[in-house]
Amino acid sequence: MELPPAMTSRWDVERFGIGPMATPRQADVLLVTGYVSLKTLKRIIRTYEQMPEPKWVLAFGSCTVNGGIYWDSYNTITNLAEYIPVDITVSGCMPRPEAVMDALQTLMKMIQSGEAGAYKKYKENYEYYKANQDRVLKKTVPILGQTPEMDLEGKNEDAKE
Amino acid sequence: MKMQKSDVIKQLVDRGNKVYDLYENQIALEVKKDNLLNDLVFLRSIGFEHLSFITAVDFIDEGEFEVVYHVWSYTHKIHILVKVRIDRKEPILPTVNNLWEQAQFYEQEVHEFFGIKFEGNNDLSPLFLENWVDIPPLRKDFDTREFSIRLYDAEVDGGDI
Repeated sequence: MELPPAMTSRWDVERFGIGPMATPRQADVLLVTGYVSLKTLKRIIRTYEQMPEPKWVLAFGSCTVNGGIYWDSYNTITNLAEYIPVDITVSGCMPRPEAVMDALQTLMKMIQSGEAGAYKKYKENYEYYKANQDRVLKKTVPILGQTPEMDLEGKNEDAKE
Repeated sequence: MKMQKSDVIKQLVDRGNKVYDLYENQIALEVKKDNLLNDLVFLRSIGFEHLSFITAVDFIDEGEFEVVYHVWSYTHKIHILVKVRIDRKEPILPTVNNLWEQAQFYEQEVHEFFGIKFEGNNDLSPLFLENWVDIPPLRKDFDTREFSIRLYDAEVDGGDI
């Protein structure tokens, strides 16, 4: 919601050389805006892995940091950094366009000083990230230990992939 | 021909149902599980041609689910909540998707989130959740907070405590 005003004439991030890209393959920075459900997480990982290196991730808003107001939901992950490496986070619910511009400029400075290189961490610690991703996306046993009485035939098709 | 709300209530009471007059254009109707299809067919025949929604309520202390069918009439401008109570241990209802096609999706949703089975509906595959192995998440005995803590390593109140 903050991105359209940030991109258009009022805040105009293009003057800092920042612009939206049409596909992940052309992008340098991935902005994850808002809460992440399991379905979204799957697509975020796919998008992130499609991006060519060097690449950076900006986690946007309280929800991606610790789940925000949705932290105790059954379908919302609470810490994006467990699943993909995050370079910089912007807190706020929602953050102002100024905060987005500030974060992107800080990211630029971090890139110049060599601080921002989380994508290297992803390659080095791939097992850690992959294990976390699989734990939530390919779970096979009930988390709370209660087995559903109703038949769940066909519900676990994704896990077998 | 447009019927007054009082006429509709009278017809329903004459059929032996319990009727609650809620608002200017809304009434609630309690039916028995065995009479459900009969009553819905009757409502449709007197002009309630639109099914807006199907939802469920989990009365865990009473050991029952209440399934609510929202039907609306474009001629009478009256919204009826058809409520049916079913046993929580045996949550089975007949399907209504041959009365209203759109019931297909509502029944899939109610099945996904409450585990209520609709007999005669051949496709009760999940719509929203991917790879769900626990008990249906909107049942009252499903602890979303505990689930989130165990699966997503959620920190209570964002780790402030």
